Amino acid sequence: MAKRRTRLGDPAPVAALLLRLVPDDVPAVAAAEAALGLSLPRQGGRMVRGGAVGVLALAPDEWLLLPRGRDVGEPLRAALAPHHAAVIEMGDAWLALSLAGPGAAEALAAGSALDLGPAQFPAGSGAATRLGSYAVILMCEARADDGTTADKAGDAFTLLVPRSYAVAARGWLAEVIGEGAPEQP
Amino acid sequence: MSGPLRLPGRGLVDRTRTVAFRFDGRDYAGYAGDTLASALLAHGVRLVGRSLKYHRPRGIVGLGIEEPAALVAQRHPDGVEPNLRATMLPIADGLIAEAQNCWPGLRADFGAVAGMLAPFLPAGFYYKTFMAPRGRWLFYERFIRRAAGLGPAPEGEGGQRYARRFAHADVLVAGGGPAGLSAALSAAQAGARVVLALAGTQPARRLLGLARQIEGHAAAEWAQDALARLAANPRVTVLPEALVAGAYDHGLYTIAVRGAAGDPAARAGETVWKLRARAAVLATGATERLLLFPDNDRPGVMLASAIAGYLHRFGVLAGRAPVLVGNNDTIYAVALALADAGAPPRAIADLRPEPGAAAQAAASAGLAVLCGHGVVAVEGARAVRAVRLAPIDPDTGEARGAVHRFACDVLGMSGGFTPQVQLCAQAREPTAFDPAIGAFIARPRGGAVHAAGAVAGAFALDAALAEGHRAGLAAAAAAGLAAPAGMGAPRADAGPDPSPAIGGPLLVRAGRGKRFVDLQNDVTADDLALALREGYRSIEHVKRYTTLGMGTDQGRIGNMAGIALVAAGRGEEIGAVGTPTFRPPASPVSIGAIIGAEPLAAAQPLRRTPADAWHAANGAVFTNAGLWRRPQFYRRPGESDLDAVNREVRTVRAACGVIDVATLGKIEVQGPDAPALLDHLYMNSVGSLPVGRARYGIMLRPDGIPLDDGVVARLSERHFLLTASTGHVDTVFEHIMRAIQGGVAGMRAFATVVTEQWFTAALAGPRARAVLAALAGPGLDLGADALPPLGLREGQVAGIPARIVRVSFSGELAYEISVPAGRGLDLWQSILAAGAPHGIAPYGTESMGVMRIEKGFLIVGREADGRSTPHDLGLERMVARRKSFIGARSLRLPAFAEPGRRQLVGVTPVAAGARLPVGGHLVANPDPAATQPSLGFLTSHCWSPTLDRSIGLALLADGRARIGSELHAVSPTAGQSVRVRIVAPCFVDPEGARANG
Repeated sequence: MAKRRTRLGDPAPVAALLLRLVPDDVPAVAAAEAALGLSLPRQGGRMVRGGAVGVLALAPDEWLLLPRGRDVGEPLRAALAPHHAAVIEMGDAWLALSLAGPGAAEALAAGSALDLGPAQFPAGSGAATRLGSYAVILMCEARADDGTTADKAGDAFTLLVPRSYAVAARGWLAEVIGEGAPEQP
Repeated sequence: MSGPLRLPGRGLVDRTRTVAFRFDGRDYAGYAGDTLASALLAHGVRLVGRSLKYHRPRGIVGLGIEEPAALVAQRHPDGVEPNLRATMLPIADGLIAEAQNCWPGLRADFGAVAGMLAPFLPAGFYYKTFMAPRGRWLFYERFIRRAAGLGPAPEGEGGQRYARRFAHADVLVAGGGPAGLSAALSAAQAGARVVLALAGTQPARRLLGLARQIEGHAAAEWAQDALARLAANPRVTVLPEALVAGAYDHGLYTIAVRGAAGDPAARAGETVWKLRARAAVLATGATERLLLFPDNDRPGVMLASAIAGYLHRFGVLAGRAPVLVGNNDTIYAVALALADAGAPPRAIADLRPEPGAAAQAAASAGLAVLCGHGVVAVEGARAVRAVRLAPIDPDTGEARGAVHRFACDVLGMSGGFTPQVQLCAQAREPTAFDPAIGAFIARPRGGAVHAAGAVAGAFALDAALAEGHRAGLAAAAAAGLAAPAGMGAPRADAGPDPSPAIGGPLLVRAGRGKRFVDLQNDVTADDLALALREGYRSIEHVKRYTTLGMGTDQGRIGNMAGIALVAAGRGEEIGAVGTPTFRPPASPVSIGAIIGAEPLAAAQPLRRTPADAWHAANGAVFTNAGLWRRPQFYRRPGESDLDAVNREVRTVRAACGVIDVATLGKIEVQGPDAPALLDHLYMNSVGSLPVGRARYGIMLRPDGIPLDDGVVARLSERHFLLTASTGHVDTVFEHIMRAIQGGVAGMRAFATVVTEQWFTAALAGPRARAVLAALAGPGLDLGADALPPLGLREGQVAGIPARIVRVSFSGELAYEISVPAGRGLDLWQSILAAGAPHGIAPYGTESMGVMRIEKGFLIVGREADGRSTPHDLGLERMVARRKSFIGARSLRLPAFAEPGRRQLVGVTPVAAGARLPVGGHLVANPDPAATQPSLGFLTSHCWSPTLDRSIGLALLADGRARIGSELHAVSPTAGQSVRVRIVAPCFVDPEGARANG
């Protein structure tokens, strides 16, 4: 296979919500799971994908919801109305950056203290973390191998970056992967 | 061409590739694989630098990391990189290196006069001589600075690119000697992710030239093969030129990696790795020590093991006529290697009166061995010409017999070996004193940190291999990986292993000349004795008083000898004296690499609001607010800064203006207990707020001082939206989370920062309602009854779903309009378009600041300065009386009610055209130079275009009682003094008719 370059996308809009629930509030969790059509992941850093939405456990009482196409906010809010819960629109708060290719994981290691080994951060992992000076949500979309080979060409990551930082954060990543100097203010 | 002292057929240099380089203005050639030190030695270069304090001539002493003296500056096309060890600097074509610490030049150094003044420059000299009389240091310093300092300050970007990165491993192996390789092999076989840090480019360099076998192969070949096998394993990362500089809690290690290997993009010259390892094997080996005899620092006096190293690794003879002196058996191996290379030692002085079998074997081989002898004099200032050897009394160190002179061009010394226990100590693992070798060895407890090889006292090859194997498996097990059955350690043949056990006297007292313990910092045995005489006993105090071991080499070759001297001086055991605390970094790390490759722009990442591009394109002059950039004002052609601000303020007061306040912090609080939580957080009542209404609120710190202010809006029974100052939102969020998690048990509320989700524009001025009405969707009633002051409405603005809060920070009728951030620029441009017929102008933070001073609105950080209480700020009527909240009890502190407290007032010059001095203090005496108490100070001031005069807010002792009186605002530094009137802290529309209309 030809060696592909590491690719960094431009900041792109994203649909996203935060779901806050007390994890041992059984009726509230059941109502949310019924509305979403999936079981909420309980282990921090793990993502579950349903038909309409991907769900990443960010904290014991906090989930990131990534809807695909249709609105999940309103039905979820309605289902949770009687419960102690919060559904917060955050799609405008973030822009998404995609980073893929053989140098992607190494580039992220320049700024993230997470263990990004292929077995430690496989596809379907995600975390709120720091990348350099930036607070990001980092998610692994695809992984080329399981740690037994050195093949990294198929690695793909998505970063949710606070909107105000998106230009600066993309510049930082571009510098790390050698794409060019970052924009000066 | 590569030097007259280069021998054919030896070493690992690539003789097919000649490398041209320049040192101290002269051109030389070496081979690929040479270090600067080996290439210079091949040319017989002795003098490579001057010492720090006495400017004594210095040469190459060591082979690698331990080098104390041969520090050079490398000149890059765009800068100078100082203090590089010549022994660690690979030569490359075009390399330009220069000697350090000499002016005007290496051979004629002005500072060498310091050497002649040496008797007057004892330890602690600077403290004693120049600090008194008080103030004189500033005079002396000008002369001392010129002659002092280690190397030049780096110029430009230092010619070097730096990077830093994070990494994770199951097992870190520090050191690529036999023990380290063996540990890496066994840990990798157990399935561990291994990082192997080699100090140099080659593994197990000390195996070179050793006629030993491992697993049936020549030892050096086995090492190369082992390294190749490790490099081929995808779970193993081999880092050449990597020095583990620090060991910290929870398995964090910092590694300074020079060259391309450290940086995946292969663009950095030095990279700092922050490695998190579940377990570690420390195989950092041992470093040879110097011996204490007169003039033991002369160029040509080298470590014996370094002489052997240059021979085996580089095929370079350090000298054709060597003499060796030592206190252990290892010098005989060096002697035999030299003899084999055609340069048998002229003499071997063994400080031990009865050295034993190794000495006898060397003598029988025809070498001149002088038992019980030491060096009493070294001839030659810039290069060793001869040494004088004499029998030394092992108890007194004095000569006790005839002196023999031996002409020589290099003197190899071996004072024994010091295990490199720095990382073990940094990791808070124990070390133990081993009297046989006269040094401390690593004795880790065996949890996550293991030690193997010479650092743990296992100097014999077979023992190092076996211990390394065991340590690698133990480290893998500590990382949760079980070893497969049937794994055996690599075995070495039963060859000779010279013992590192030492004997004989510590210090040769006979002869004249300085006996250096630390060559880099010019610390002598006499300095240590002086420190003890002056009452410094703890090794920590002796170290700091004399600067022993405080150089970039961290005293690797001398510290142990220094500790032994202190122990002898105190009449105690060395183990009782101990070592100074080992702190990171164990070896130098460039500041640039610690910072990494962050371009300056990214070091302080810039936050932009959704309307940033519009601001930039429309004349905004930006200012920084935290990490945000915000328009300070918008300058039109021909306007001065003040013109622009005055125009913006007048426009808002007369028509309307709009400001981007997207940076305002926003926090949503939801839950059945949200009202109770907010009542606990704010000093005023907010739980009683009706749905659809907002209220100005102040949070106090537990000590009763305002933490932040903002507006609380109630969106529904259980749903609140809080605003916080741009720069304080993180602090406020932490404060809220602390209250939720630890303040009140069982508080059911979720807090979420939503600053980035919303764009907010504040529309202010008498025409604001008309502008907003032009944009409002159907059903959005903006009438004074439907949307009163501090009212909240949701609806469409410019076709965008929006939330409107009627709140004013300017004193005018004003609305804060929030929309999802992605629509922010749409909203901003729609407001400007709709406002154009009304004469709207965008305004910036400066104009906002002028209007809030005109209104006397406080800012946390200015008027609320971390000392003033709500009462001092005139906000006592806001403080709720019938609820408990954070800070409530502190407000009852007696000190908060004492007379003389500074209170918020307004200030304006008596003369209409006068301006308040920047940072002025309020005083009674108009003389700015007079010594007098400050009654208070200006917290904010500006030119008010509304009043056409200078106005300010101030914190003034008993300020409210002084309203109506006159004082002086003085700036002693600027020599300014202005007569001022104290007024109430509100200059414009004190009744609030404009905002509430």
